[in-house]
Amino acid sequence: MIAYKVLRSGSVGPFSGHVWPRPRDGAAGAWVVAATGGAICRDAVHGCRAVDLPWWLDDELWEAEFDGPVATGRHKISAPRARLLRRVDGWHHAGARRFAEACAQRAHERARAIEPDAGGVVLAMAAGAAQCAQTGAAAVTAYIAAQVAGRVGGRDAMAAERTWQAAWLRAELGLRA
Amino acid sequence: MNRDEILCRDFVELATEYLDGALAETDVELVEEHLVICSLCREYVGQIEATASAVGATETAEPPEETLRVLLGAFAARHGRAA
Repeated sequence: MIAYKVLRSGSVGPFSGHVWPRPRDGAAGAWVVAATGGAICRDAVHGCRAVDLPWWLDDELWEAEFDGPVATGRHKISAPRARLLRRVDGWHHAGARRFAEACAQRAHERARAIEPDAGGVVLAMAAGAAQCAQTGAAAVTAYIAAQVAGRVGGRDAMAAERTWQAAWLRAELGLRA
Repeated sequence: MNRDEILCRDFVELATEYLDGALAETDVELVEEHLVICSLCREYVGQIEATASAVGATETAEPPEETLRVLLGAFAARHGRAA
């Protein structure tokens, strides 16, 4: 299965601390093999689908191949082994900031629609999103934007906001999977 | 845990189990989703890991013989046995 792996700078797993082998000379990176099995736990190799990306955004985004029985969690997948195929070039600091600004803008528009005057909680949340977007903190900004959507329109609106975020990433970054 | 997300106060309750690998799969996902967006909880995890690592690296010395004798004597006295 082709999906995505989100890593910190230096191709480091954000939770495992594992340094993922990068592709070299046109060949995929070496396989990273889980200790045991393929359940969603620390003994599996984790990744996500494009639709899950807004929850996990970090410094580096890689297209990756997940091999073996792939288990699907709420917002992630896991498999016995995986390897990096190519880095998603469009996901860098400027790209992250652009995404974050788009999320913050939507949060601001929603907030203004129900709180025309300053001082409300939702507008304050939107202002927080705008502040986060300035630093390119994509995952946090996306989270706040989803929370704003939830406050304004309930659970469906929150889910729709996450869907919009994933669609933005898919379109702007040219994601295949 | 049947919920969509956890907050910092939830995470504090789950942190040790998370680091021990003792959480249910769905809870691990909730914890990690929270860690992505919360720098304070990431810092908290780092502090726990650093503390566990430092304590784990500490050599355990045997108590001095006299201290051991006194402690065993007190233990025996409390439980009504001869040391």
